[in-house]
Amino acid sequence: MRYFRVLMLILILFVTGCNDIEEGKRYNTVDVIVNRRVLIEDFTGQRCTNCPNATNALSFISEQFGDSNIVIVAIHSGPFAHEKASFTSNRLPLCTEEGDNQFLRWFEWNSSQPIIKINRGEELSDTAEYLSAVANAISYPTQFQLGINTTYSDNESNINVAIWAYNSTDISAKLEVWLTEDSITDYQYMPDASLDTAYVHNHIYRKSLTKELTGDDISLLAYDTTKVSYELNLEENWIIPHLSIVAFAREKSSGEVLQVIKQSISQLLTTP
Amino acid sequence: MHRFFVLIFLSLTLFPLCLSAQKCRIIDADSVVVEDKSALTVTDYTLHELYHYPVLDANLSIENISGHAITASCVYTISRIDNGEIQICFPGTCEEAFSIGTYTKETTTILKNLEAQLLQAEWMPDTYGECIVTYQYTFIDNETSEQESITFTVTYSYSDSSAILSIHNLSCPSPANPTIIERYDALGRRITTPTKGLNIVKYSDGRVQKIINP
Repeated sequence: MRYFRVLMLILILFVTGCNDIEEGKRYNTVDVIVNRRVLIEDFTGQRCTNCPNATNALSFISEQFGDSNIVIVAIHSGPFAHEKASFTSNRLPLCTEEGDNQFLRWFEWNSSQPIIKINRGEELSDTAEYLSAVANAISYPTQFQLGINTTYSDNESNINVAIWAYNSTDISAKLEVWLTEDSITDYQYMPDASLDTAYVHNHIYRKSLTKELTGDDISLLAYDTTKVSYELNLEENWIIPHLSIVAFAREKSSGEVLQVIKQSISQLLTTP
Repeated sequence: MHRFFVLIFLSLTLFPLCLSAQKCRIIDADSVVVEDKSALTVTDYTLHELYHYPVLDANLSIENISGHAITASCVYTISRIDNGEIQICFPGTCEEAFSIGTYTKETTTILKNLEAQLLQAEWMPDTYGECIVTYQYTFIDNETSEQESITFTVTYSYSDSSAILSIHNLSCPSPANPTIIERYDALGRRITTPTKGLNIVKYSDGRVQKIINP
């Protein structure tokens, strides 16, 4: 009888002793060597209730790997950046024609959103897969280096951007230079389907300084540095301290992003 | 003493088995459970709060009652769509479909125990017509790997007899929020409990909905 009670107690402890740890609270460790910066294009929309989840997941990734190593561009585009998917001309405030062209370059119009592209390679819809994919991309070695020098003086109506590119072997590449804007307050539908009229949008794609979609050709000789320059006229609705320049080079044939760099205009402004 | 231990042992071992009988349930705005293989009809519409086009929504939510986290997935079949588009934002991503066919959502969503989420499955017509969609939601218990599915068909019907419910507020009723504040019968008399036939329900967010109780 005594043995039976002991056996029962052991069984009770066995049954009740398992402690459920919710998935979000489990610790996952990943060892990652940072060998390059990573470009993440987030194809998003203000009418897409799930898109803030992607934004939050990307913010977390940016914190994990360092803001300078992860270059996010939120491209408002596709069906959920329009009043209705069939209303292709009725763009929501943050959507641009260039953004839609970017979307249609990769996806069918009725593709689901959010969807991201990592270094112009992997396409992901599931936010749970973002972290490991970025860890993989950031550890991939590259010899390609980019430098950026943006010049802007207060009260000027244009900015000048100089890009340096360097590689240890001869290479033909494509260069794309984009303007992005942070801290834009505009509406966004949220995951609980509510409307947030004061949502703060960051990394918003505004304009391409290089040839739209195709980029500009650059040819590099081994150990030589190539410099290209661009000038951009500022539009009145852009808030200058919130602007950034994003430049990335991609391999001409495969399209794979070789290197990316970002410079914020606010770093150039004279402090009072 | 022996019986006491046996009782405790049996209750602790069998209780989780009882919980695992049902993984999830689909509920409407009044927390009425949508049974497997049921057919629903949506005739009333709301106007989108920003863009002012009609939206027909069954206002359904999914609730995890499995006792564990579950992974939800969805396959939906559009068997008729006269015009407009079906928009579906659960699980994982938002997508829109315009034509007859079977669509598998590529993404899944993990629901914690007792977590509820809106299905956000709507028809946005361009003009009068009908749309029929069969939704199949599958749930996999992340603890036991047991699987369960619920299938139901929604007929969305938009005609000149459709009634406008309100300006469409996408933040429609979920199990916790908002609540029913008033209820009337077909003759406009205030009632405290649901009655047979047509009931008009007013929610704390100002929304008004017609409900027909069998």
